[in-house]
Amino acid sequence: MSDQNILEFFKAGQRDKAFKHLYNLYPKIEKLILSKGGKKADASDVFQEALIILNRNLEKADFKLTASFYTYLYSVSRFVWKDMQNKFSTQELYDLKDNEVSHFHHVLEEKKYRFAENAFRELGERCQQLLQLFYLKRIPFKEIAVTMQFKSEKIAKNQKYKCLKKAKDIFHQNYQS
Amino acid sequence: MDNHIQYIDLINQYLNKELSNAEVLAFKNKLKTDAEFNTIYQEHLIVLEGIKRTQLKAEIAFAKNSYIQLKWIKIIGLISVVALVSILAYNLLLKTETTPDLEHENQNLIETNIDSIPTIDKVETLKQIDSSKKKFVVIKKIETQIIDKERTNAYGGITVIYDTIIIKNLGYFTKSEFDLKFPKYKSLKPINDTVVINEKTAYKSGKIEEKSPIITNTETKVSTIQDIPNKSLISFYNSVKKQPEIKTINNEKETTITFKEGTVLTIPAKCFIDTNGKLARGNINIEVTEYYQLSDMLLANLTTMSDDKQLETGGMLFVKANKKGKELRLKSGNSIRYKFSSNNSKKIDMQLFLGEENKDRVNWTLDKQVEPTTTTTEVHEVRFVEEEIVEVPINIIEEVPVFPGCDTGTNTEKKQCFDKALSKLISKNFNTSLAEDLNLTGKHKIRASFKIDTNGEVVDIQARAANTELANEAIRVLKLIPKLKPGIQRGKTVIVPYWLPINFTVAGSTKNNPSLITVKDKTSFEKKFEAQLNNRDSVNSTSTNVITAKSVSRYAFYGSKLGWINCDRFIRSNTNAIKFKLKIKDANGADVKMVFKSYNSILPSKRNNDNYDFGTVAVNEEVILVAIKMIDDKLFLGVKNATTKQISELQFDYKEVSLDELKTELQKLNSNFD
Repeated sequence: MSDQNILEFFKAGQRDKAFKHLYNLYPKIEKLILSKGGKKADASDVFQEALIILNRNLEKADFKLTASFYTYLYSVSRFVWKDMQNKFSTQELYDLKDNEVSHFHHVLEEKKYRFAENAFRELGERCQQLLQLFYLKRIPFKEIAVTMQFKSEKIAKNQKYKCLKKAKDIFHQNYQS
Repeated sequence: MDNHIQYIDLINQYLNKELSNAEVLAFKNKLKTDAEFNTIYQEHLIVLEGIKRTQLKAEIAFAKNSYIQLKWIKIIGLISVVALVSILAYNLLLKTETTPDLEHENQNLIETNIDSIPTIDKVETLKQIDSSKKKFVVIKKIETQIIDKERTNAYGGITVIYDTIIIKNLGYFTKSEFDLKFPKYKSLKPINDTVVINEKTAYKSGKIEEKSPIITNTETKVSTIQDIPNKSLISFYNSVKKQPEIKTINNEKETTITFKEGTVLTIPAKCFIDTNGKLARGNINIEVTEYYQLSDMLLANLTTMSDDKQLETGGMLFVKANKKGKELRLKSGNSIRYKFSSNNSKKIDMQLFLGEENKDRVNWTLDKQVEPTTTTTEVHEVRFVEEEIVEVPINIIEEVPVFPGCDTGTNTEKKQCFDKALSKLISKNFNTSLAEDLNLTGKHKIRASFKIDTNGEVVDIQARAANTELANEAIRVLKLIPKLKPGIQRGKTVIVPYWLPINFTVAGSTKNNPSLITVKDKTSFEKKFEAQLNNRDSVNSTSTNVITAKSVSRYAFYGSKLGWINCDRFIRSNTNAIKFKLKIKDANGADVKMVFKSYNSILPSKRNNDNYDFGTVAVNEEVILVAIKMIDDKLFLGVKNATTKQISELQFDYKEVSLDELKTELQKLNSNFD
């Protein structure tokens, strides 16, 4: 499977297929993380994060993948792992190549979204479900009210607003600290 | 609130592309002009991305599963193909073997058929015999976890464990030989001609449990031995107690204090409670008495014994805390970091001992608070912030930061010069045409703030303005400030925060625009981050120049108790031990202690009339015996060099001394402790 084909999957919105093929690169990343003192579970987390970062940047209009998927994921995984370990030496930061600087920034940028995700996961199950139905599945409130047994569309909407507010509050609290 | 709901609705519609072209334009315009709305929008995007991550993670997990499934299908497929091929090959082989038979006896087909069955049986039994005679490799795998006690102690409760796996090749065995040799593992079957014996041993503590020197004495007749020195000596020791050094700290925040002889205490915030268990608020006193000198230890009647085991000390402390005279204690779960000063080469395996005052002396016991039950973490690096960074406002600072060219005059003049230079810089560089571009009219105010760091550099620039562009312009201009001389308070460079308003007026009426937007200069964060790294690196590389070896080599521990604290290790003695007992002439109830020359250790003695018993000690060690006695309120000191071997009697030359003389005499011995 060539990079071009995988890119096509992304463009066609078939992320699941793209991810599946990209997983073939996983053993190499795992090797990298293990060689840096990580465990297998760490490697899995790092790779997941790298895929999310890749996906985010592919969605950006101004992003162009200049290297192969492998090179990009490898580089990003390295930064993600270092970031998790909080181990950057000045020399390394100085020695970064131009494209690596952008990869590094992608990793730093992702951090705030990770905070947002954690905030979301701190919500109650019902809140999570409600927000996911509305924002991810784009189901109108009318249907949400039926499936989640709210008395009316308006109550569902109100509830969603409250849930969102709560997520934001948690996010703020965590992000600031 | 309602406003907020409407905003969110609007943003949702915008993101779902449900707005008309005109509405989209209005929306984008609102983003530019309405700061509050902009913030809400940005925040909303972040939260949505957070929610999206959950979906992405689910998709990735799904992809991972199908990837793993595919991998297994491939492996299973491969195995089945291999199996199929080998079955085919086997059949083919049998066929070629049997075909000649068939051909040979083709006349009697039925017979051959009957005959062919036993032949196969024969082959099978042959194979069985073969397998029982066949040798296979036996490998023993021993997994051990070793706790590094030293590092565990040093990291204050984070257990450091090394996993070691030892693989031993035990040789080749046939099944019967194996069963004979390893009856325990009879049930194990060789896989791929290999048998693996797994052995797991639980935690082993590495190099701590010291085998105490061969103690052969079974007679423990303590009762007959009078080991309490006479009462006047005890009261004497109490009267010459070293005075503690008292420091006042604020219990509300973390504090690091350094004491005269080099002990450094790092005390976490809010860790002291009074006897009723209530948090002590505000200022509290920390009393620390440091015992690093031999003379200090001798005068305090301190010895280095943990029950009957001899210790070598790296310094002792007596720590107490009070608030207005009321004693405080440490809240459970909190611990103070003790850094012991040490001016000699670092000795390994130092551990924290806690002292208990019993009868006349302090007995030390190993601090067992660190149990290997906590989570196992490998600690790569421990960073310590040595000092908190202080910010001092420019109005009260002793020496204001100096703008280049402003280095003459008094403090006030310097500050005025600073303010002037700054406003000059701003009026010269601020791009006023920006106001026109933005269609601004009337009076405008930008509130800017920044900090002058200890290097004299301008950091943490922030600007509050009606408009992002204006704020950014202010930040751009403030970044042009040249390197300054940093502000100084009490002889140390400090950070100085600085606020300034930038006012300008453009022709036209002043519009009331209440909403201000704050813009922070993001580069300052990265700069700081790098500076921190730089600092750390430079400290590492130049530590020998900047910091003396003395301040570097410290033993550091976390302790969760106050009182007597000692940094020690058990003495490793490879030499033989003897029971050291002797008679001292004219002892008159003197207190005699044994000071070791080769390591920092002091032993007490038990007295029975004029017979002194030092217990079991290493043989042929150079020691100094120090005797202090008191007769009719007069102090006598006797010092004698000796070697630990069979001595029956010793004579001291007692000298009458005053308290000060005693101190000086004992200080002369200090050089024996490194």
